[in-house]
Amino acid sequence: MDRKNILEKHLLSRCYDSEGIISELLETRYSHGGDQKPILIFRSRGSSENDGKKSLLHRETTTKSQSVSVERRKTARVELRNYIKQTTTNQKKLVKKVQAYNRTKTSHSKPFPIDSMLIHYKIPRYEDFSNLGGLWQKYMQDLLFPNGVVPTLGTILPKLSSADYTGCLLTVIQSKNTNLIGVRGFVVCDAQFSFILCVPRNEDSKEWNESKTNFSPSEMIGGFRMVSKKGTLFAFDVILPKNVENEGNTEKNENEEDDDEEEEECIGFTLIGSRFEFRSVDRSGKKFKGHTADDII
Amino acid sequence: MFDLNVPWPINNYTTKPTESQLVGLKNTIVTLYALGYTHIAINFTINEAIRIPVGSPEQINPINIEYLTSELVPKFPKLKLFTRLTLIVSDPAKLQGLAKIQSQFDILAVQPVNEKALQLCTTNLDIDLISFNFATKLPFFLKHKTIGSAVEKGIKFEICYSTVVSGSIGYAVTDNSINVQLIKKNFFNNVLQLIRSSRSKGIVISSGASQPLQTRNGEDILTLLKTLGLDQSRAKACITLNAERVLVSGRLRVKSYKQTISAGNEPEEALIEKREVKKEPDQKKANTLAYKKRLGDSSSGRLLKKQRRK
Repeated sequence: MDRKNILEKHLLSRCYDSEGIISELLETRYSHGGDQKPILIFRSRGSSENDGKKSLLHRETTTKSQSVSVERRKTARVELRNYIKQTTTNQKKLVKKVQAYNRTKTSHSKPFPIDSMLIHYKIPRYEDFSNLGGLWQKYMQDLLFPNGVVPTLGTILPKLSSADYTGCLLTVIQSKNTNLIGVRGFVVCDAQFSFILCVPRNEDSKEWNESKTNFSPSEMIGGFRMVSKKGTLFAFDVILPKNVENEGNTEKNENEEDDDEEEEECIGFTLIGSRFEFRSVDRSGKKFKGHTADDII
Repeated sequence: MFDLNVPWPINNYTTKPTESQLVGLKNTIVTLYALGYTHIAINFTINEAIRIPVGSPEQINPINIEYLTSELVPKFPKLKLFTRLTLIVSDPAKLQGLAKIQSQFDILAVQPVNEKALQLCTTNLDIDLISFNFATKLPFFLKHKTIGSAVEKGIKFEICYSTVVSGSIGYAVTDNSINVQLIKKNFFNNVLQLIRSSRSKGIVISSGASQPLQTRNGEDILTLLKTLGLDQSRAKACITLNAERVLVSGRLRVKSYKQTISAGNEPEEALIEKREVKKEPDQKKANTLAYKKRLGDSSSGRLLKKQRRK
């Protein structure tokens, strides 16, 4: 018989010590001369726990993988999420404070100490991100105009759709939520369903706020804004690098230099948020498909 | 308001429009503008049998849009002109090379003449609009399944009201062999069929007017649609929202990558904004540089400059 009876052998090895007994049992079980019992008897061995052999149901447990240390649980993603959560709650607190101050305000009371409060609540400032914005512009110039020439839209747009937007200055130009229109700021985090923007304060907060003198508490504070991508159009500009040669427009450029400090040129693009609801990681390798345009407007 | 069908006087590639035809077209556009239409698409209709000069891209679109814009837009600053191609399709197998054509026109429309062609248009083709010839009795029954799936895909159906308003009064364009009364009867029958099969969704109404007197204002159109059995909001969507959707989907095909990023970011009309650069020898480059602007002209650009000065 070429049957090895591995299963039975394995089970019996737990009950009997010597190989001889096991092979004898199996021999009698399956041979014509034997008793051909349909049963196997397993004997319990009292000392089996102690002699180092592991039980059949035993699973290897490694202490390392089962319990993750507090340090290891701190991934960058979780940290970022906590930070954003913390900042938004701080912003809310500060807004409430400003509102409370405005209610009790008398004509000769001191102005609200907004600057020290911003530092106290650790509200991120828009100016801190402007370097990131500069880096993004440089990245875009490298990506879009690699040889110093402006390619066609057909080659630029696919590149843009798989590009990274952290650090880009986005402006909401159309949204189902009309309160959002005009909000602008640097992208801090490109989440799946929303952009988290760091918005400027006071005069810079919206394009049409430049001549205003009174600002709402949230405009005074700035900080982070979560702008959902769905139903929103974002505008952004890519500055053309100075060394790009526009043969057709050389004369025009010379004229422009007369105006004031050399006038930079940019190309405007619109990001359609409803079609952008992917994580930036997934988006880089994604093949986009056209759909109906009904939900865009 | 939107009017997506002002016919271009010529229906082939060989002849050029005469001066009087162009004047007539301009008169129609101006009349429409006076009636409150700002976005007007000029429609170039060809039969599928006519060979399209696919090899030379600049000849595909015979509509001289630059001439029209330079003539009209300075006088009527809010006027936006677009181009549209309507293909009359009877045999779907003959239709090809749509990919090369579609970048030259703002809107792509198809006029199927039989059921097979309609079936193909709704399933396979990447188009914005389907129109029918409502003057004659439709040779097939419009099924809700076909029409409904097209509406789901975002394809809209067009009703041209010029067939019903042009007629016996003296500015008729149709030859006299077909009875005007019969045309009107057919029109109402066909439109009712379309409304039934589409469940009053995804309908766009446009003029199709080749003469200024065939245009109507929004109120008249709403009355017409109400007579046909549409309710107020749906009727209004026919001339505003649905038409805008057609324009957006058509424009996005040209100027965006799969509706993700599109070029140009004017706050008012980012999606349908159209810019033409004077024809330069290097045509390819112009298409990107058309969206170029000074940094100080955009709001975010001004903000960027402001920081740098600090």
